[in-house]
Amino acid sequence: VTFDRILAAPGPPARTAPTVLRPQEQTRIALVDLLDRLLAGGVVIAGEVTISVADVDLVHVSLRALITSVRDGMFPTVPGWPRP
Amino acid sequence: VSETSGTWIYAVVPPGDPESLGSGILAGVRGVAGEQVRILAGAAVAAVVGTVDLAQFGEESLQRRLADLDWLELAARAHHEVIAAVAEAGPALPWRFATVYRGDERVAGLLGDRGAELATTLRRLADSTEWGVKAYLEDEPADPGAGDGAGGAGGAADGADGEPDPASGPPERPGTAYLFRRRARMSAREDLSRRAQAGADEIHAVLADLADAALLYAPQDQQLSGRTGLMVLNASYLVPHSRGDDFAAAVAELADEYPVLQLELTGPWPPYSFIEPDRPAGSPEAGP
Repeated sequence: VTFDRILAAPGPPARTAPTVLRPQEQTRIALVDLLDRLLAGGVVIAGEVTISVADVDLVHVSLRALITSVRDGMFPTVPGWPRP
Repeated sequence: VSETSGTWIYAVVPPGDPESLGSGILAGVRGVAGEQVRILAGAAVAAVVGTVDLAQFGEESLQRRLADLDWLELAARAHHEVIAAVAEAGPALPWRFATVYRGDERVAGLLGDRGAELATTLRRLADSTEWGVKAYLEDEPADPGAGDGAGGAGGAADGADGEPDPASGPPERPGTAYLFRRRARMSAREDLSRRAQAGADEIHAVLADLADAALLYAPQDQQLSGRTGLMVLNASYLVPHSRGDDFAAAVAELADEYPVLQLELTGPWPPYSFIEPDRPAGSPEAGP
């Protein structure tokens, strides 16, 4: 089992069943799918935590404000990490 | 660890052989700050962590940077890539994004206090993985007439509450005919949406039945997803490894069974959505 893989890439509407893609065909995970899980999932343990973005709604609200004001073309691919 | 450094947690893994994990799968894996990711061993579990600068990852600056979509994307992908790397090597519990502790000692204390509980969760999820299924209604009903607003003579009567008078009988005037057409179109669209939602509910029921647990997420923001179709299902399922193929096959069958919907399968994901035990299938996730 490998992670970081998408089986059915978002694409033009096609009434086809999801197809398992080979590794070289695998596409980048959609940020929106990632954010669903990262902002609401995972282990949360209160107490020792000094910083935790527990207020997911807050992040969503600022995201929405941001995206409505920013642009149509979403999420240019920024290769590499780290960056300044 | 100086006071200006914090410890970002990516995941918790079983305690066995953390050094081989560190020198193997984690070698070269960089975290949210570009830092080398490392292992903090505990008795019951080990944590996969990285050192971050609190000047950049302190509460205030972190909140500010999270509102920067470009930064958020890079950090989210980095966080996920670390988790995916360790999950590929073995069982792993993803940690909530953007959780920073005031140094390794705090994390060590946490592993001591909560290690047994985390180990139990690790065992519960060890043989399962998460799959995402989304469903969209892409098609608009065929529009036999002119588009809204192109009604010409009907323009004066074109209002949200501009219902034709039922007493006026069959439509004769162009404006009335336009309103009848418009109402029929809206009704067809509502009907299609209703059937799509019903189909999504049925699909969810079938898949939840195949899964050990299921979770409904709120429909995604169209601007974030870049999709124009109506999203009628955004769900995650916890599926044992042994049933993964069956699950994918079921999604393919359902896609054939519900041609009006476009289904998308994503995964396998580390079990982000199923850290909490006994999350009942179909329990809706609170969303904005």
